[in-house]
Order: sequence, then C-alpha cells, then structure tokens
Amino acid sequence: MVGPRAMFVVYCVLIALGVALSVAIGATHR
Amino acid sequence: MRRFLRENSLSIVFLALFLTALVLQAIAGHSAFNAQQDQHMEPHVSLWRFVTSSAYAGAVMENWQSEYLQFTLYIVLTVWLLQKGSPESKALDEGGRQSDQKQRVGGHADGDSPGWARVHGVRRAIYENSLLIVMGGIWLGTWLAQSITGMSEYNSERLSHQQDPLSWVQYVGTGDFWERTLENWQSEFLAVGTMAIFAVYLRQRGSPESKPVGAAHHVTGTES
Repeated sequence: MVGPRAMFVVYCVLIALGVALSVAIGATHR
Repeated sequence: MRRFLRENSLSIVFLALFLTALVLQAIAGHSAFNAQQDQHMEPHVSLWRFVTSSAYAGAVMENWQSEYLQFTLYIVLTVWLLQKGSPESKALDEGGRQSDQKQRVGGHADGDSPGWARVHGVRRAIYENSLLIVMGGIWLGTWLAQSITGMSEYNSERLSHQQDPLSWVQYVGTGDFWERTLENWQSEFLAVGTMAIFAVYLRQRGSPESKPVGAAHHVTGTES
C-alpha cells in the first residue's frame, strides 16, 4: 500500500497548498 | 517503478491532467489579463505577478469549491437517496446507513479492517464519516478562499473607480460572489444528475462507472 499512500499524501499536500496560497494571496490584496 | 505506475495510473494521470490544465489556465489567463490591461491603457503584468494575483487564485478556487461540493453532496445524498436502475445508486432496499454487519464495523470487522473501523465511540464515528468530513472540509476551505480572493479582486475594482472597499461580510452578500458560486454549482448538479440517470440506460464496457453492458435497465446498484 506504499503507492496509494504516496499518492494520497501528494493530493493532500497539493490541495492544502492551493487553499493556503489562495487565502494568503487574497488576504494580502494582491 | 512500472508496478507503481500501473497500480496508481488513475490518480497519476488525473494529477498530470490537473497540473497541465492549471499551467495552461495560467498562460491563457495571463494573456487575457494583459489584453484587458491594453484596453485600459495600463502596463502589462508578468506571468509571475498574474499567477500570484487574486484574479488567478480566485478563478482556481471558484472551480475547486464547486467540484468538492459536488462530491460532498453525492457522498452524503447517496446514503439515503436512490435511483432505480442506476449503478450509482444502492439497491432500492438498502437506503440508509446500513447495519454494522453489512458495514463490517465493531465486532463485525475483518482481520484487515482499518483500526478505527474495529473500535467504538468517537474514533469510529469520525472514521465512518471521514470521506464526507474531508471532502466537505475541502469544499468549505476552497469556498472561503474563493470569497477572500473574490473580495480582493472586487475591492481593487471598486478602488479604481473611487468607491469604498467592501468588508468580507458585505462581499459575500454581493451578486458577484453568488454569481461566481452558482454558475459553477448549476453545471455540477446537472452533470451529476445526468450521470445518475443516463447510466440506467447507457453503458461503457469495462468502466466501473457503468453497469455491465448486458445488465437489465431495471437492475439497481453495482452488483448487477
């Protein structure tokens, strides 16, 4: 199950990064 | 490596498609943004400036939130709602959260069931609903991000027209926010409803999203 777990983590990181960066961009009025 | 690629081809290919589309969206959006700058006699912005703008982040979040809402709703509504003949639906007598035996939890868990499926109490309550909790959480997070980037973009437009900026609470009451939300929701709802009903009569050989080609139209659920 190493493969699915790696992909699970990649998706989690990507989504968290997308939301966090968007909030930061919006909050700093860029 | 070959085995890894084969066993994860679905998530890998969708990840690659996502990243490609995201880059192409940035390039196209940058070009469109600068075309607008020309119309307003304003200087061009760099690609980096564009991808770190509220315009781009907001456009991305707007679409993300509607996709996650779609899956969140689908996950929760298919617990209770049924569609006769659809492989997307449970059998007509299986509506609801089902018995512990059917769901293989607590004393009915298998040897290789996830740990949190075997226990009782809060941990199991969380694990039983973990897909809904996480997908719903992503939906709310992306929708919040859409509102913040949307407000930033909306306010910069207002400031350029010598109008006062709106607070977040004021912005989420605007037509701008709700139009950008609902234009995405309506398409998701239509597509999901279409999938639920079209799969009653139409088939794709080999796809788990479809019933077997020879399955009768009236057979509901995946075990047809």
